[in-house]
Amino acid sequence: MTRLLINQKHRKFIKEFNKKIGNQKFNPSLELQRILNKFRVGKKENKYVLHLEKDRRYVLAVLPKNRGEKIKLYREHIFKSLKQAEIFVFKRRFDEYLRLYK
Amino acid sequence: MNILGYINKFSYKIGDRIDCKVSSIKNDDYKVDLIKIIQGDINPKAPKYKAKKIKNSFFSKKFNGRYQELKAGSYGEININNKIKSVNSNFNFYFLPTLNKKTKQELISSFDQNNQFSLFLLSDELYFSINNNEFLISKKIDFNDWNFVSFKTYKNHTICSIKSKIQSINKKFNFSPQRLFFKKILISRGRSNKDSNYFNGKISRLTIFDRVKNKYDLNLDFSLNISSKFIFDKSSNKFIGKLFNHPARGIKGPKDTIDIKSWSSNPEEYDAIHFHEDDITDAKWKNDFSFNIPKSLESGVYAFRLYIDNDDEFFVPFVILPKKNSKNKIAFLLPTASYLAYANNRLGIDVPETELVTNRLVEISHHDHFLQENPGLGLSFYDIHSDDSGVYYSSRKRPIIDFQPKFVGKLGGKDSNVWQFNADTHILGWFDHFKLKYDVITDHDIHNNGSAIIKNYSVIITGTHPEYYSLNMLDSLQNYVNNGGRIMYLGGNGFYWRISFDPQDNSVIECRKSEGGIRANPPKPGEYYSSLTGEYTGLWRNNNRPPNKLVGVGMISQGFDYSAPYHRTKKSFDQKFDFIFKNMKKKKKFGNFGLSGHGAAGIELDCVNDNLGTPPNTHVLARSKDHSDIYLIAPEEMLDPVPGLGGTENEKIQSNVVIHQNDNNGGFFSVGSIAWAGSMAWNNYKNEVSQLTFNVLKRFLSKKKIIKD
Repeated sequence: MTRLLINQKHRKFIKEFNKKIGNQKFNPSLELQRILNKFRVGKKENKYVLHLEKDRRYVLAVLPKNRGEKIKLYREHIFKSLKQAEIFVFKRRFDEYLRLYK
Repeated sequence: MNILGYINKFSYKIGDRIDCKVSSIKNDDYKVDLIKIIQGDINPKAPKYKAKKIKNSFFSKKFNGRYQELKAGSYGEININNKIKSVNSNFNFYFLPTLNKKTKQELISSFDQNNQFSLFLLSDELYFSINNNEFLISKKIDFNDWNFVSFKTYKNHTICSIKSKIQSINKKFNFSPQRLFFKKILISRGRSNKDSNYFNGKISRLTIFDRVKNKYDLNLDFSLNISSKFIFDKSSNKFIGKLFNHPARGIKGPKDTIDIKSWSSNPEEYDAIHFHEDDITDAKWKNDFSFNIPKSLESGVYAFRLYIDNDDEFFVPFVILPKKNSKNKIAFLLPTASYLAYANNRLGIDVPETELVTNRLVEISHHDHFLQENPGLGLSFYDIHSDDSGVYYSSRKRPIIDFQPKFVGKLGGKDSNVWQFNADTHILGWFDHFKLKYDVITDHDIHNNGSAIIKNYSVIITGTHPEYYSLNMLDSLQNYVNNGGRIMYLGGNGFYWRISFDPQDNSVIECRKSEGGIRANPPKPGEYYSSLTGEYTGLWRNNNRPPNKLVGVGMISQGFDYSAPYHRTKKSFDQKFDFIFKNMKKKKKFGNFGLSGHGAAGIELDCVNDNLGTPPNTHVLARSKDHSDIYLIAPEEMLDPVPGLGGTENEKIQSNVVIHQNDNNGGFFSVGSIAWAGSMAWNNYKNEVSQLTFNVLKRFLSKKKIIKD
């Protein structure tokens, strides 16, 4: 786990993320990278991943706890691009984290 | 995914028969195509997927599909054929459980048609059962140290004892089973094939002593013949048992002296075997069809394409080795040992760090769903067992999901995200683009045959990530170069880990990642030696054979977000290197494009290091920079952890393109980057990285000196 405690003030980095994530070479600021590291580190259970369809659209998915269990797909969240999916997940993680630790 | 299959080997000669085992999950009928794989990347930005269908009447037919089970789990089996009959006996053994499970884990079972005995764990409780009647022995098994179990049978009663650091109990049962052992003894599993109840943990010193005759009926010593798949009985019965699916051997038993570090010099301390429910080195499927390789087929990478329909397909690749009189001067060395190391890896779905090191969300496909839902496929050296211990063995004798064209990896960089085999098809496609004649041989062939198999080639070309090498493989390549051979190392993180092949079955390799290096799990102290050969394991650089000695460069850093361009060194503009940059624009920077992270230098990087044996007169032609902070210094390079370890700050983080010629006109050209081949394939192979590689190949194929004075 990382030590960073995320609060409402960190929401300003959503703007930077949305601006840079579509770049061919994604170079976040140090502060943004730390927020990303915080969201990405940890157990696999409930971790967001993207299921890539044959038509190259992305479906939001969540990893299960144990080997052998199904990966859950959220077909209500389908994205035309990786950028669109990244922006959605980043904001969702913010919302979830702040709700959990408010 | 409703169909999958495997064959037992990676490579075959003309005239050999290939036996293919297939499982059609829903029993659907299926068809088989024989294809030659040219380019397997399906990213829209990549050159078009290309596979040449080989006409063969045999393959126009429909095959009857049948389901075959994927069943992992290691165990031992001894046929005692009802020879152990004493009523007054002591049955003893040690065990150290490594996974607390809510379901049964059977340590020992024995049975015949009418009788059954079993000793099993349920959570942290130990039970025995006789003909399905269960009895509790202990409620608190030690999961941190050895437990000693003793089972004394008498005419009218039974005494069970268990001793560990947390308890010492004797329990009397006022009945006697008379006998505990029947036709067969199974170690670490139960009788049923359906619910085998595999045990996760270590077992040692299993004995049965006849108190009346005052002699052992069975005295198993797992320290005998550790490198074999057999277990031996020191009693006068001399039973020989067999192990299945390679449980870990060379494991320390109840006597553990800190100073003892090698099983080959002190086997008596290594009298334990570590069993896992997810070990698998032979799926043991039945054969579904066979194919005799006709003379008409040239050397190359082929595959059986098994398919139910166009969307439901599975590839079983294999190499057809060159004919004895082959005139081809290029040999592509397919890194099959490294394919095994990564076989069925669960990066992304089981390794949560994947998103951190790629700096983007993990993308999964139908292949990952199948892998996730079928643990019976077994593990790679990048996974850990369900009891959190490291994976030491990997085998070809199972379906390998990531050893297919069209497979999308996890660490292959933004865009194509190809890894190992499918990344190597960028090089096969490049051969095809330049209409180059080439033979293909595999790591397994070099390990088996030594340098004899490569000595007649002018050039050996490696894959993108030839990371796992046995001593024989490394010696063979070094001899080849020393004797005038030329290697084009078109990858990164090569020649990194030392592996050993199972001398009895070379479809199985072992790797224990001792001391240091980038690894999922370290072996336990004292268990750093290969159980198959007794060799010291770990990084080749810790075995006094750094990759720098062979190819000039060695591992320095890894990152999986984006790749970077190269910057030519001042030296590279010397006239003597003009042949390398022929037909390219005379500019300092090149390779700012590609299918593996949009740059030629990336994913895993190698650089020169004189202290690690880069040969004198190794010329650095280009260096990469502009890597992100996702790239960090490899742990073996980080002697003192100080700030500034990331790619934006640390100057050591760079890939070097180098060329070298030795006194015998042999030498190497090394790119030190996994992403290089992704740039070769960019824009349909029409680009400066592709051109540069072709220029070097042309010189390497000529009999001219590599570098003219």
